[in-house]
Amino acid sequence: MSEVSCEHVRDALRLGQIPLPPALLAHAEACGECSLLLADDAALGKALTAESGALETEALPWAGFEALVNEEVGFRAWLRSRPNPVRFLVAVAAFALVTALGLRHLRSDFALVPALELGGLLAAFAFFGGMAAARALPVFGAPAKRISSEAILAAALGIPAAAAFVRTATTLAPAADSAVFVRQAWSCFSYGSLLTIPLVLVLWLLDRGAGPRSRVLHGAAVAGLAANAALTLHCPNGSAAHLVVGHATIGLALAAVAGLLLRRR
Amino acid sequence: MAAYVAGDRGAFRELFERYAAPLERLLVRDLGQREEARDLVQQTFLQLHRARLDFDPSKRLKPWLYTIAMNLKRELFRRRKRRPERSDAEAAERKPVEPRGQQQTEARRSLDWALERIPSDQREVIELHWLAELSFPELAATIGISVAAAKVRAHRGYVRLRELLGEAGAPSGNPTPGGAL
Repeated sequence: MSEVSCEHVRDALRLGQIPLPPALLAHAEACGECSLLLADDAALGKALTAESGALETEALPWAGFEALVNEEVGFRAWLRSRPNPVRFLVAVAAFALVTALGLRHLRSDFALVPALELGGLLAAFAFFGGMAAARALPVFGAPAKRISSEAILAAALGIPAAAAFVRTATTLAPAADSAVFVRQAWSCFSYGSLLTIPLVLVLWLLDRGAGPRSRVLHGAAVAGLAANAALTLHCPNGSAAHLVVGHATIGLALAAVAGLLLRRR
Repeated sequence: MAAYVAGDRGAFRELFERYAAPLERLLVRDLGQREEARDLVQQTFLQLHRARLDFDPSKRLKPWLYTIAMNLKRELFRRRKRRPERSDAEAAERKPVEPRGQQQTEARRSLDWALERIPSDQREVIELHWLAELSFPELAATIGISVAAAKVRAHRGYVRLRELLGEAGAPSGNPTPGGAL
C-alpha cells in the first residue's frame, strides 16, 4: 500500500470502514486533522460523510448552458480559446508591431543616440510589457506573479521617464514657453494614444472574460509601454517634464478610461 | 475532457452533468442564493470551454475546474465588496437550501447549521476536501495556499465544527440547528 494520507482516511470513513484498518488507524492517531474526525466514535467523520454523500441538488439544465456555448463562435471566440502560450505570443507580436511603428518616423537625432542606452531602454519596455501582458491575459499563473503587480505598474510609469537619460547633443531641450511645452506634450500624448489602439484591440480579442479586474490595469500598462517604446524611437525631446506629461501619462490615461468603463458595468 | 478537446461535443455534456451539481452545491452555501450559484457554475463551465486547449491530459480535471470556480467566486465577492463570512444572525436568517425530493437527516441538518457558522476560509477547505473530494495538495493549489496552511485551516475548522455540533446536540436551552433555522 502506498503511503497513507488524510485522503485514505476520508475515503475509508465515506465507505463506512469503522473501525479503520490498522494502517489507516496508525495514520489517524498521528495526524492532528484525522484524529479530530475519529474522536467521539467518529462523530465528525460520520457527519461529514452524511453531508458529502447527499448530492441530490437538482441538476442544472444543459440546454441553458449549451446555448451559451453555442454563442461562442467567430474570430474572437476562436482567438481567445487558443492555448495560453499562443495568446501570449499574439500579445507580444502586437507589442512588437506597435513599437515598430516608431521606426517609421525615427527621431531626428537617432543616428547619435547611444545604442546601448537605447537598447537597454527598449529591453526594459519589452520586459515589463511582457510581464504586464502575462497578468493582463492572464497566463502562466505563478511564474507571472514573480514580479509584483505594483512593480509592473510602477515600471509602466517610471520607465518612460527614464528615457530622459537617453539624450544626445541634438536632443531637444525643455521648452521655455509653456504654450510650446503643452503643444509638444499634447502632440506626443495624442500620437502615443493612437498607437495603443491596436494593442488594446488585440488584448480585448484575447480576453476570456474572467480573471481579476486588475487585468484591465495591466492591459493599460502593456499598451502604454508599447506606445512609449514607439515614442522613444520617434520623439527627440529629452526633457523629463515632457516625457512625464506627454509620454508616461498615456498608460495612466488608458487605465483611467478602463477603470471608468469597468465602474459603469 | 481530452475527448472534448479532440472534438467530441457530447463529452462536454457528460462533464457538465457529472460536475455541475456538486459544484453548485458547494457554491450555494457561500453565495447564499441558488440562482447566483447556478450563474457561477455556468460561468465556470464557459471558462472551461474557452480554456479547453490549455487542458493538460496528464492532470486531473477536477482540481482545475474547482480552481476556475473558486477564482470566479473570489472575484464576485471582490466586485460586490462583500465578505463571504456571515454573522450568526445572518446565517440564522438565511433560508436554508433544501435539497429536493429527500429529507435531510438530523446529522446533515446539524452539520449544515454548523458549517454556516465557521469562517469561510475553513469551510472552503473542508468542503473542497469532503464534497469535492480533492486531496489536501490539490485543494491547496486550487485556492492558492500551501498544503500546511490548508491543513491548519482544516484542523481549526474541525475543532470549531466539533464544538458547534456539541452545542447542537446539547439539551434544550442551548442553540440547536432547528431553532437557528
